[in-house]
Amino acid sequence: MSWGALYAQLGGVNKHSTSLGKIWLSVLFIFRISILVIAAETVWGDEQSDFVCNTQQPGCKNVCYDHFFPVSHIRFWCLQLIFVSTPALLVAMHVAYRKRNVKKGLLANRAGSAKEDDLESLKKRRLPITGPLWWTYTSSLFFRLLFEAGFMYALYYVYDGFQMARLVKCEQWPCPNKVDCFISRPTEKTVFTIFMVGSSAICIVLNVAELGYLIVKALLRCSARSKGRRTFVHQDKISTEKALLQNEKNTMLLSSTSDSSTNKTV
Amino acid sequence: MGDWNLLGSILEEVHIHSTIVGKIWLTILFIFRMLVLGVAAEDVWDDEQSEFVCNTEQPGCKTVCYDQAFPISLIRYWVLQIIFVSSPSLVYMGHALYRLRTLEKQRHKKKAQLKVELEETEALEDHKKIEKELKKLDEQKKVRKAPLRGSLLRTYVLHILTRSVVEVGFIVGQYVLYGIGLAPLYKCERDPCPNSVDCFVSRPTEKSIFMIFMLVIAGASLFLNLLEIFHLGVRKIKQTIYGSKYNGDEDSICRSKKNSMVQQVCILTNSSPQKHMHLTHTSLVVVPDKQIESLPLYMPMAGPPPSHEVPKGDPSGSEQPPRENRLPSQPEFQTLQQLGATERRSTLDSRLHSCSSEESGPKGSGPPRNVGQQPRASLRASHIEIPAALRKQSRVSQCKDFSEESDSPESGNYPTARKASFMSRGLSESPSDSPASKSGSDTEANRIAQGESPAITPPPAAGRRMSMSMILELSSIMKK
Repeated sequence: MSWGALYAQLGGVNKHSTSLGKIWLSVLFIFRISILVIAAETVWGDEQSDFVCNTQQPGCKNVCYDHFFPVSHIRFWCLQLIFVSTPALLVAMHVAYRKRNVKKGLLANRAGSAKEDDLESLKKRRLPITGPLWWTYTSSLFFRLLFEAGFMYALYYVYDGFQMARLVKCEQWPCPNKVDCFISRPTEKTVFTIFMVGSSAICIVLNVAELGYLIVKALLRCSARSKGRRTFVHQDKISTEKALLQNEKNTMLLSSTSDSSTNKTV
Repeated sequence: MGDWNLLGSILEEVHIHSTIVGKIWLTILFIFRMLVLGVAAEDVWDDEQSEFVCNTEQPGCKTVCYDQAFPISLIRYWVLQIIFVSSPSLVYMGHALYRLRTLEKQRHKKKAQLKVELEETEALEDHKKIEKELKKLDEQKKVRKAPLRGSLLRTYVLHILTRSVVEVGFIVGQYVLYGIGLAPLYKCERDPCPNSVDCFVSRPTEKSIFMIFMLVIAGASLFLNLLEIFHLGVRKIKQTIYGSKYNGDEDSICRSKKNSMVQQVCILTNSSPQKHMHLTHTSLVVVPDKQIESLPLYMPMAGPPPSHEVPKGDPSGSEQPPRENRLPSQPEFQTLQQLGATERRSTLDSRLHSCSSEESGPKGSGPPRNVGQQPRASLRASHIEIPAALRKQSRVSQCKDFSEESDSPESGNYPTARKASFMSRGLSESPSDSPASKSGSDTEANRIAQGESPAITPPPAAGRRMSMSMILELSSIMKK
């Protein structure tokens, strides 16, 4: 299992995202996952082997390294990317469920053999983000934001900022007194940390924008619907009464036909 | 680290035959275990031995202390865990495919019989009827999932139980071997180390984090297994409690040879009072020829099911074809049948079409990604050409399909479904899975077309090749 497989999964979800969602996915894969795999992993590759402490005491280096790097940046970002990608799968599940219902509706309503085209178009068609799907999509966005922000904050908290120091002073047992330890490639690591944090921030901005866009769209839809209802209410009352009468007639007709059909079949 | 894509592609096939909870379980397996193991955890344990330092100059002391501290590296342990936990699914999949093959054989036999009948009969009505039957059988071909009942259901439940037991075993094993976290200091007193020697573990905090993470994920998988058992159990209880209401659905169970319990349901069906005589709501059952004679015994008593069955049947998804009662020898029922015939046939066609389109839909995503044999790039190699590698690895799972496809031209249906990512494909089927397993009829399964009996023989051959390369992959994993 690799990033490529994850890309395959998310690629399917991409179809049903908004344009901002598609941009987000591209940023995720090009600027974060690719950079992580191609560049960042090599930079952090020798982080422990080239972590040197000014001591001959066996075990001191291990302990100091463990103290200053509880979780490596690379693992951090890997987990962040995995967690951030996962809510999209919720949307995929909901879309599949909805498509299934639409399909059933199509099949129940129409008789005839030339349905394959309809079903094929349904498969390719992009479902509108309305109703329960809107809620699923919004909550997935929300979780995405939560995970992004959470991981960013955790990184800031664990490493006291986004900058990598050149020298750390270690006082862990079994190191005698205070020992100077030197981190390998601190500047390069700082550059990549800032880059990854920056792309994470861009993703957060995109997610917030997408969330805002969806909320605004939903509000507009609601207001359009309520306007439509109001105009209907202002219609001539006589015509509504006529409509009601017609409804009653129709229901009577329907009940009579159903009675006759039951008589026939029994 | 070896390539997980091989196991991944096999499990994608399993995905088709799972219930919805099973699909969620597979997703968690793929993303939170395989992916995390491959991209993150492996690097943490890379320098496990080289950075294991002991406070001694005694030659050999570090080696024996490392061996005592880490009898099995956790990475290898988790690889074994994933493989053992996935294996029962492969057994179940084998059974499901076998069942599909028998159903397909039956379908072929029936088709041949119908063709013979078509030539023999001269009456126009019978002609039309037989042609419609043939068309229906053709459409069944497109459905590829075995219905979850009878011995297949038993295998399924057994496989979930085995999976749970294995999962528990590995969780307990991890706890016994390493506890919850790793301590940075390990005191070693093994020969040839003098007295007690302090040894220091590399990256203990990071390793503890991953250990806890994997324990939590294993716990979540176990929970899902239990949920699935509960879900199946509840459904079973519902079926037995509301057995009379599901009579129409289970009408065809009467004709099943495999399920003896089902025959008791038949008796219940026949004796239970029928509320409506609307044949428009009758679920139709295709009856194998030898059992048509037995039909007249059932038909007078077995009326159509209550109308509220249909709404229940509908949510059960597009993969539940209505069953058709064909009674050429019962003229008094023919007119009644023809009343609802067009409506039912259209729903039958449409449902079968939906099955086929569900299967054929994801194929669209397959061919663009299927570009032929790819070398299996390990994650490290992919550093060099990540854009190509990203594409490659998404296609690696296709390369096996491609080889299978070249083996058998008839297996077009079979491997193409694997080309789609299992999520997009599996999710489209997932809602229809649980309903398909709800309805409990084997003759329904007769209709659910699984057009792979000719295709089944090539995959096992490919499967043998697969298993060989899988062994090679695993050995490369273990070497590390």
